[in-house]
Amino acid sequence: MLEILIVEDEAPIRDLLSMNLTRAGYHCTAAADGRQAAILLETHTYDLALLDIMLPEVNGYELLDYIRPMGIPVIFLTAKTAVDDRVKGLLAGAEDYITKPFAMAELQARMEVVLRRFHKVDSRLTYDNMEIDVESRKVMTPEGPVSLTPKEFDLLVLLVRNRGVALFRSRIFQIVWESDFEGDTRTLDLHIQRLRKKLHLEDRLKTVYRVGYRLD
Amino acid sequence: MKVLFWNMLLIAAAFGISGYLLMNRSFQISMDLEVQHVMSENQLIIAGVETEMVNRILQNSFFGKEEEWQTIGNEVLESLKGTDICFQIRNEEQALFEEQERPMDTDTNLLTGDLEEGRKQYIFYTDADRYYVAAAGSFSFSDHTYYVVNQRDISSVYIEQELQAQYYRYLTGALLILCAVVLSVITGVLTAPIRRLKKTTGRIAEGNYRTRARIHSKDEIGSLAKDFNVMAEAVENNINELEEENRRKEEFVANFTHELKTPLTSVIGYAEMLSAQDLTMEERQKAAEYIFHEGVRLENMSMKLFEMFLLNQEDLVMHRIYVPDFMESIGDSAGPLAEADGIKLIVQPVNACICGDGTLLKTVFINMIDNARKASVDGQSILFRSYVTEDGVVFEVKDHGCGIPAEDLHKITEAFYMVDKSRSRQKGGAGLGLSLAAKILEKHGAALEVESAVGEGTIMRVEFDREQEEE
Repeated sequence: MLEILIVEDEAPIRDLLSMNLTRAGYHCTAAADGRQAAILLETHTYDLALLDIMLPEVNGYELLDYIRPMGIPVIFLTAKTAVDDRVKGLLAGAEDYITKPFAMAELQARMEVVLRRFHKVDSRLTYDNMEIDVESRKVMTPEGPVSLTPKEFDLLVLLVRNRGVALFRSRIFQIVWESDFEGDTRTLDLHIQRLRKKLHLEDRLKTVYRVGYRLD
Repeated sequence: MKVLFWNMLLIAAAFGISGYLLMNRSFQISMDLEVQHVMSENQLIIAGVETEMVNRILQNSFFGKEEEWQTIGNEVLESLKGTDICFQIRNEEQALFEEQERPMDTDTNLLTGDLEEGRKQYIFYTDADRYYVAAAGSFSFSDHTYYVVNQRDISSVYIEQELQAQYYRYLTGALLILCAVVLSVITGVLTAPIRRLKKTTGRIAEGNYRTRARIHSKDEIGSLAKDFNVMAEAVENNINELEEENRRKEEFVANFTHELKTPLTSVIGYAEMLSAQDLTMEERQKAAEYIFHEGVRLENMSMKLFEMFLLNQEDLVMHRIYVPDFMESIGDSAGPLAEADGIKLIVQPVNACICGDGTLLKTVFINMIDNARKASVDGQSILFRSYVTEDGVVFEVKDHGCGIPAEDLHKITEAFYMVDKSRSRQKGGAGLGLSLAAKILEKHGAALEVESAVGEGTIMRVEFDREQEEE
């Protein structure tokens, strides 16, 4: 389980991030200001930090200087959208710079990119009693290993990583098949069907009307 | 450069003209002298010739024949030995005596042609690059007129003239160069202040508004430098003001954008969650609450901003305000809100009138009371009172809440500024209430006074001119 540190002074946004990221499978710790964050960093280690820039007392840049030497990648999350600010943030050492308001999905995708870059990807995913090894591309259930085609495997990983989130068909297609969705849903639908069969996910892998699919 | 050029031109002209006139005059004088010489020579010769003639006549041996003239001529020549006088004796038709080695260089006929009896005349002529002056005089003998023409070589006068001109040219040249050098040094020194001023101008043009010109002299240039400095000061002040204004505007925009984006992030984020994910009842409740809360925050902020905008656009509607009624109506508006937080609002009006825009002033005090409410906790009270002074009416809003730190006091009327961000936001504040209030008061010509101590409370005070009550 990857550890995420969230430093944000606005309570609603703090909770928004915690709720979403926890559901996505991360373990989140939140701090409301720089000092709290510093205290937490003294005793814990994290895989990624999400920092707001406009924090009381200790601002985001100062905190960044404190966190970077620890080898923890930082993503800035801020309302400061001007180009100068973005450049400043990135040059200061942040791995990425996301402006508010943001789409949760985009934030998560960018987090994954950064984590991958730092080799902190969870190569082991779990879903209920299923164990998925992303590196060796094997799926293990209590009944034994399950063999999946490459695309089926990628589809499963995507669904597990976005557990509880309704995914648009076009997005699934783009990520798994890496090409533009041309409106033909048959390939995707067939794969979903086969996954359901092979892994007995008939009542967990739900079809979301007008959107796509969701793995509960 | 121009000064130098014109000066040199003037000096050169002066030298040229004076030199020319002087040399001309001396030439004239020399020539006149030569004429005098040639004339007196002529006279001398004639006298000599006449003397010889008389001698011969007395000896009865003179008849006017050609040979005789030759003899006389030679006699006179002999007597004039040692001089370089050169002459010719002639009658109307021809020359009668002339030195062989030194003949006259011109046709002396011309000279003697219309010469009157007893008078002399002279002529200048040149021959083979030499200059001469010749004079002619007449004498008579036995009813015949005879002439003596003599000449002087005056080439030396011309040569002298030329030499003098040359000498003068060199002298003038040297002097002019000297003058040029001295003048350029002098002008350089005199114009140095101007050049310095020019450099200072350049620096200001580049953006260094702090520089000033140095003033050394009390003359026109010094005075110019002083005026220049005054101007530079004005420019610097203007620029500073503009930069400050610009900075304030930028800061406002930055703050505004942030205050807008932050609640929006929550609203969008939670709404997205609600629509895309399968949440528990608790989570759904929480999401909905946040959306509501942040939405209200947005509404507060935009309403206040709108009011501020309107304030800039519109003029105040001034009328007489009866204080007790005014304060009571405020108490009615703000009281319930305070009570909902367990805070009591006490209203103590004074019997007086002021002049102002009632609607806007109401906003002012409601904002102040709202701030007091947010700073206070359950069980505390807020005092809204007024009293009269010599010629004014003072309003006070006093609370016993958390107070404002001394170092933040001057910032509280800045747009979006909040002393305790989390507390303010939690209670739906946007940091604009006092900004708006201060603006309204400013338009009324009244100033806001704030006294505060952390942990003890705050008093906000403003004074208006007292208005005469109606009879």
